Amino acid sequence: MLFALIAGSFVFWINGANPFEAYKEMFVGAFGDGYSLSETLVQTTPLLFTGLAVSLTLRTLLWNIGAEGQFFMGAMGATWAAQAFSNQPPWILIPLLMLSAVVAGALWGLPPAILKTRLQVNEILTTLLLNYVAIFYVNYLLYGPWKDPRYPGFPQTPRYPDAALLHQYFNTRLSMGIIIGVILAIVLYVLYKKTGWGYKIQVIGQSRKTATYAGIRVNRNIVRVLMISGAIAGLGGMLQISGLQHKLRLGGISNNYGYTGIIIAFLANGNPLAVIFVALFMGALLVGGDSLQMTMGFGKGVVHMFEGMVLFFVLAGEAFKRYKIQWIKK
Amino acid sequence: MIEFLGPFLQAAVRSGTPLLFATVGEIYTERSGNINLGIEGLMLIGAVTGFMASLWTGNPIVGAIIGCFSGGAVSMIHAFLTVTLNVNQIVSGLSLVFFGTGVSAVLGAPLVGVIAPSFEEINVWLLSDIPLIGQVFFQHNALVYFSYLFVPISWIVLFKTKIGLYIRSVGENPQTADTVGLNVTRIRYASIFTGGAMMGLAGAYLSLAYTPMWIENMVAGRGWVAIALVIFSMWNPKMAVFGAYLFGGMDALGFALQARGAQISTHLLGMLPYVFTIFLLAISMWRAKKKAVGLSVSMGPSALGKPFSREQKS
Repeated sequence: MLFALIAGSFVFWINGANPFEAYKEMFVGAFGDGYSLSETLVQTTPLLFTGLAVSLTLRTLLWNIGAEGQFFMGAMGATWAAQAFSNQPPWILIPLLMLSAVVAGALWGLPPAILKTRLQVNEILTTLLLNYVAIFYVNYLLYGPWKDPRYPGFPQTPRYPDAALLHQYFNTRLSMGIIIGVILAIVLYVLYKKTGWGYKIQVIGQSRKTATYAGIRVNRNIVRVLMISGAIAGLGGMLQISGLQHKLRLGGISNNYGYTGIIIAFLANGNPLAVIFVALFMGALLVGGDSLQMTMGFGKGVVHMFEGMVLFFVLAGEAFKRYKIQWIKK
Repeated sequence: MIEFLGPFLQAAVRSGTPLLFATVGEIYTERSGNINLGIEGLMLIGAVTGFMASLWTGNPIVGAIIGCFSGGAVSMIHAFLTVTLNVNQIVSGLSLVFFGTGVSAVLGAPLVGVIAPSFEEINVWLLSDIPLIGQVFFQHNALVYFSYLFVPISWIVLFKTKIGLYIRSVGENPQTADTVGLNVTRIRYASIFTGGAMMGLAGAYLSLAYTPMWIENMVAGRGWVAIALVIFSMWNPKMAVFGAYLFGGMDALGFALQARGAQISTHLLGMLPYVFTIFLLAISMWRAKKKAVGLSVSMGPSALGKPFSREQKS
């Protein structure tokens, strides 16, 4: 981590900025006052869901690179429900939106699961390729049948009915999504640690063979894990729209949340409680990066580059940890 | 019919070529027992550095060479992490994707909308006049012609030479290879470099010949498609040609249909290549299962994805 910060300074330096000031700017931008703190939490919310989604599959040694697409499909499902049941009161409509998003996300996780269990098709590739399909599909809806007729030039739907919106607290853009995310993380943690199911998926993750010999239905659990993972990411998509954006709008759905979720899950080592903190860190990085962008004129790429470097150094660090330095006396 | 087929197949070759480079590059890497999932990132780096070099020197050939070398150079991060430090290859490859996306966006920010010297179409003397075949294969830019040379050479190198034998034996059984005196580490580094260089070239093709300009994230998933094509081609450059042109055809089909006035949304057509790739993957695995050709063929090199350390027995 420290090395990544140093390497990051180098990046700032070659871009002609004082690295210390840049970091200070990022930190102030992310935590400086109540508003920026709330913005950090706003960015943390979707990351929590994608991070949890990926961390679930990591426990079974599967890679769900498709959280991005599942997030899109969740947002799509929620929008469909908001349009279809628009005259329902909030206490019916909000759960309907959630249900629809969860189903859409889970269904998006299903084809990779089936292909994996039936034909051993690599789930990394199928989940990833489905991201592009999901994004194209949402584009199609936004440019086609779902376009708001009042703004023909913009790829977006009309605003959700008020009953479908989540309340935003304290005059910020923060909704209850973050609380749902934290609760979900705790629930998953308890499930992993205290239930037979949690133990089963861990055995599957450690050795498929052992799991089979122990009478665990490996394939059924793999399908289940990938679908639940999709459902979690889908729920994140719903909260993003219902709690923040208020309409499905191109460019306002995901800020690479699905991909960042992979990094989060990996850095958290599959532990849902750790996901909360790593997601917060990444959220701060996004908001801090944004303020850096405004004040110092760096592009968004800096944040991605930084993420990549953090990963490299964490990886290398783990490898070095394995080799203990020993003094051998002669 | 021919006035439809000609341009369509020509476009299929045009958009299949970058995939061909990347796929054959990954075949080198995977044949040595290492899986590099960072293709997407390496292609982006190749695209942006190639474009910059062409802009500065005014020569797209220099651009392609620079793109090629920077792809190889950046892939050395993956080589160091996975071969020397024995880090999980999947995680390292994914990190490379993030890194490449970020670096290329930073480097490319001032290049958006800029025009750099790019490769021009060259008609091959006499050959380009053959009906249909001439249009499909011999009215292209220089990099496409280079791929005609490069793919057969790769096949020969991998399957008919000593170097290829070394690479494959390191990928199948590194312990044995080590025992007979091969330097597993060096061979894997070299294979990863070769692969990375081809991925860089594939990226440079996009920014210097296909599009030709720099657009952020312009690789658009082609790197992942290439990984799928490696499986489809059963780790053989010969088969990669079919896979790459098939995908290129899917890519081109959308444009061809629209050019004929078909009323289909571009966005729905855009889904086609990706759905098709998933389908292709399923077919390859199904075929392998059905024929029971032996897992050794369908699952690739035996030591794929497994780190090798001399001190550890496997």
